[in-house]
Amino acid sequence: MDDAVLRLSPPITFEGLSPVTSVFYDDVCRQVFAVRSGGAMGIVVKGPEEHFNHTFRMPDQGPILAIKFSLDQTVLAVQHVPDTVVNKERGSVKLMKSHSFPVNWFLYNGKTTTLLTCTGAGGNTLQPFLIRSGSLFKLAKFELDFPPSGKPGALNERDFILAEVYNQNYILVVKHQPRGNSSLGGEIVVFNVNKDSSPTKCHILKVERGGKLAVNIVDNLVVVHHQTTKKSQVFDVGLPGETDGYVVYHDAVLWTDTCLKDGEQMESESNGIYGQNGLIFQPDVIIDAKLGKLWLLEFDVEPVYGLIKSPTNLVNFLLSRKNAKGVVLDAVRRLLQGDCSLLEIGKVFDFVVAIYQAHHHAATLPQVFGKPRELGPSVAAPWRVVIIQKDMCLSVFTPLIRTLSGVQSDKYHRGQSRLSSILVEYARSLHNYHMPVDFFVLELLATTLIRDKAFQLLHQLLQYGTIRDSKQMACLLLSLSNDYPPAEQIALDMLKRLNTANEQILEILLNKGQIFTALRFLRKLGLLQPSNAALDIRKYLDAALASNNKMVFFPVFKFFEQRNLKMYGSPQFKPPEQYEVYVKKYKEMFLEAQDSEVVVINS
Amino acid sequence: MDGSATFVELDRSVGPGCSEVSILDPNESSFYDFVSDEEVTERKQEEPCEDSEDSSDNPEDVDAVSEDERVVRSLRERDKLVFILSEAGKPIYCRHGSEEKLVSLFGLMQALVFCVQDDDDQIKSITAGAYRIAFLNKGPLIFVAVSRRGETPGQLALHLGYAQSLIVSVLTAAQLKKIFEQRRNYDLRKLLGGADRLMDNLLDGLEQDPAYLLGAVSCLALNPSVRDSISDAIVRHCAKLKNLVFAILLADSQLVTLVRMKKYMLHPADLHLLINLVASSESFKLSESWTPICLPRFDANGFLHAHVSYLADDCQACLLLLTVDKDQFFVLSEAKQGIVQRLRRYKCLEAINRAMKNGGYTMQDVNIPEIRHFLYKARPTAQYTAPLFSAPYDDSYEKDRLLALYHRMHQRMLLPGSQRHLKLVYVVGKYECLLCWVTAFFELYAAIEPLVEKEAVIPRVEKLLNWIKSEESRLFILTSTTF
Repeated sequence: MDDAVLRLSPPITFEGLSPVTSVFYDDVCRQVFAVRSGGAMGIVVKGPEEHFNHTFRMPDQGPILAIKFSLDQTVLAVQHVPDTVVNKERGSVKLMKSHSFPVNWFLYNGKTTTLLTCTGAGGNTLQPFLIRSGSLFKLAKFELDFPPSGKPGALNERDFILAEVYNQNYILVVKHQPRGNSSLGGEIVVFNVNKDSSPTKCHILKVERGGKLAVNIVDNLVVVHHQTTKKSQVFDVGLPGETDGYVVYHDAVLWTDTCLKDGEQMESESNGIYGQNGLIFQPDVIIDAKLGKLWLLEFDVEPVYGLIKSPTNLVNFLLSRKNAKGVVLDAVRRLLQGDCSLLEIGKVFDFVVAIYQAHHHAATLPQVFGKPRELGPSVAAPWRVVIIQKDMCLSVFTPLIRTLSGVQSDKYHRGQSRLSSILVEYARSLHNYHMPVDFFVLELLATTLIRDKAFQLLHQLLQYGTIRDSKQMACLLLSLSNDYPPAEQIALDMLKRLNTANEQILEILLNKGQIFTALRFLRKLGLLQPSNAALDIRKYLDAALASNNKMVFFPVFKFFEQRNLKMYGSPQFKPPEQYEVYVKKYKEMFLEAQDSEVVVINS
Repeated sequence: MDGSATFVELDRSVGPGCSEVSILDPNESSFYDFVSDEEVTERKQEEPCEDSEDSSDNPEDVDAVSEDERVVRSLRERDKLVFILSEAGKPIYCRHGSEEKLVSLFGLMQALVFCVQDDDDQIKSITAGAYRIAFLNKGPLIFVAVSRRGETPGQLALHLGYAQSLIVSVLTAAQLKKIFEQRRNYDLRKLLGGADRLMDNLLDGLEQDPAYLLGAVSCLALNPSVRDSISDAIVRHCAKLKNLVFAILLADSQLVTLVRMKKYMLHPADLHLLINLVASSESFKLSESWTPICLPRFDANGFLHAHVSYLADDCQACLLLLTVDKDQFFVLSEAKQGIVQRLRRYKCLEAINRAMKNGGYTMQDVNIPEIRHFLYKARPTAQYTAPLFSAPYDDSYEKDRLLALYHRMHQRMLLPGSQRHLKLVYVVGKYECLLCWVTAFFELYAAIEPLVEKEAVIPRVEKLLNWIKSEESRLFILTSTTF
């Protein structure tokens, strides 16, 4: 099935159980040991990590109870009888620390180096230990509110799972049947275990189905397999849920429709993941010892889009998946294209931006201890999908605009105004997280707002600094000033504030015929001082002439005459031949007319 | 009228009545109710034939209605209109239009005034979009100004006040009152023959001549010694004449000298009426004239008699001798001859001619290149001076624009809703900067080069004030001469 979110990897095959072959699995190193004739006929070690594969023989020294490699694959430990441990290789085991108390059973997770022991007569008291940098930490004991062992509904070792989800160390307790008849089905209680505090109950996964359950962890998701229905549920403890302040109650995010199958057809009902022969190991290993197959459970994000209805949950879920960047971007684009409300879009953007901000923050922290700066996935939460503004523009907004350009005019307008609202929402979200908005986002926003004729909104965004000052933005505004004339002044103000674009300001002012403003600006810059002899006066006189307005030419000419007076002691321009044309024009316009016609007050 | 943005300002001091007035839909029947039955019947009885243009009385006259509409439409193209009507709604005068074609419009204006008066209140102005409509209800007459030139209601009221003064100057207030007491429905146009020309000229002047804006007159620039000889000549020949109140010499609407009876003053507004009279009457140039005139500020109920004559064919200054004695024409004519002879002997006529030919001074004479033009009013004497308009205000378009700017600045100096003035305003305009400065002694409005630094403006203006001070004796009449 293409749209199945859970899949089994191609199996790793080994020799199945038989009278001469025994099979062991070490979930620390994720290795399957197929031991033929007690080792004499060979031991084949296989696992998902191919360099951990070994084949060797050893003399048959009787039935093997357990066989394991050390983490570095250099030491093999074989247990033959309950009381003896045989070290195959040299080396020694040192006693680090000892605690003694009656233990019903224990569980160990090599990844999180967590040891969970069950103690007490009822089998309801749990004693966790943490091994951290060679030391053993005894954590606080905690009691579970369950029927004592031997009674129906009592827990046993198989109902406990040590798992690491989102870098948190968890103990999952599977309750197959909840007490009382208030609700059907079981639940999984999740305890958080860490060095600094006693284990706390923090999540309850509402399984809501009876029958036997098995649990895998894949891609930080808790996958619950139901033997009776042969379906699987997916829980994400990272999603928000109903909460009483202490414990978050989670519903399944996904229900897989089809049962998990190997690529090939399973031989019989009893085989495979839901069969009796299927053994589930943490975090994501499924072994059918009889068939001699080991599968890894895989989670595929591609089909998720249609399976989670709430846009916020969808994006929040996808943002925590491995290699899901493309899927997230695609999902966001599809949400925006659909009829998702702006409120939800805003929340979606907030999720996206929150991760971006955390990542950005981590990346821009000062370097510590000479470690290279990490620019890949977030250090603190490597599963997070980081979507930067460029991604949004390239994969979300630009395709949106492209689809808009093809539509009819009435729809086009609605589309434009939705697009501008979306972009404003994105900018809002970035601001919310104190992230500077990249220019191309602002550019897109400004052009969309102008196309949408939402000038007032644009004006406010500029006025309140949401759209920050930049030379590029000023140029963009200038180019848009045909559609929205006030944009020109906004652009000029922006350039002025930037204080690096005085030349451009003068050019713009002269181009727009605002010669007075240009000259006043020049004066403000101190460039009109007589000392600045390099000033090209003719540029301003030309502009004044080009205005074709005597009310402009007159004062400009007069102004420079006065400047000449200050510079040379006479109003004449120097050298005169370069200014002949202006002087002539001035005489034509004013002096000759003055001689012939004198306007008398009250005439 | 654009009803969307209509504000009606009422004179609340008049009565305790309602403070707001809604403009009624003219189509509503109730709109006409307040024209009392008495008035309507009176009109029907007395002038049944003359009412042919009143469409409401004559439903057959369909053409008149469309003609009305056409005239109203043509009026809309004007920036400013002034209407005068009697309280009975009789049209008297319309600037830019023929009043008899606007009977129904006059009816509407009358209705607006009385509608508010019924509530013991008085309508002052209506703002409707860009238009401002000001009302002045004085005695038996109603004056209405409609403008979109941006004047304040106060300025429009001032203009209407001048219009009212002009009518009083022709008839006297007492006569005006009497006429309408006798016949409410009297057609005043019969008595105002020829006054339309005065009114047109006056209303043009109100917009164009800063004298009205400033409430001041400008004086012909003369050396004080020349002016003294002129005054002296007048005193010499007139001092013995009983009942001569004022002797005024005007040249190009500028005051050359004013000699008055010791106990009487001439208000600038009255002087404006006299100047307007001379300026609008070409006939005075042909011969000596004897005309009755009422100066409303001097005595609104009595006539003065004016002997009006130009000094000589070779000197176009106009002498007005005002007396209360209506039989003094020949005595005054004789006095005038004496004055002219003396002026000729002392070469004063040449001096006046020279001054008139000069026309005045330019900013080049003042020699402050940063200042382009100014108006300066000496407040104690109500006289003002201004240079000739020169480049770049050397065409009528720019000149009008500058005058309009002065008008606007004058309004700005008045704080809205208060009688207090701003002291100093500096405005950077599109083509020039404007500075207005009002003290107890002077009012100054100056147009300044747009590229002058703000800091440099006050020193330049102070330089200008110094220049005016140095020229004061030429530009102003500093001492008043009496008989």
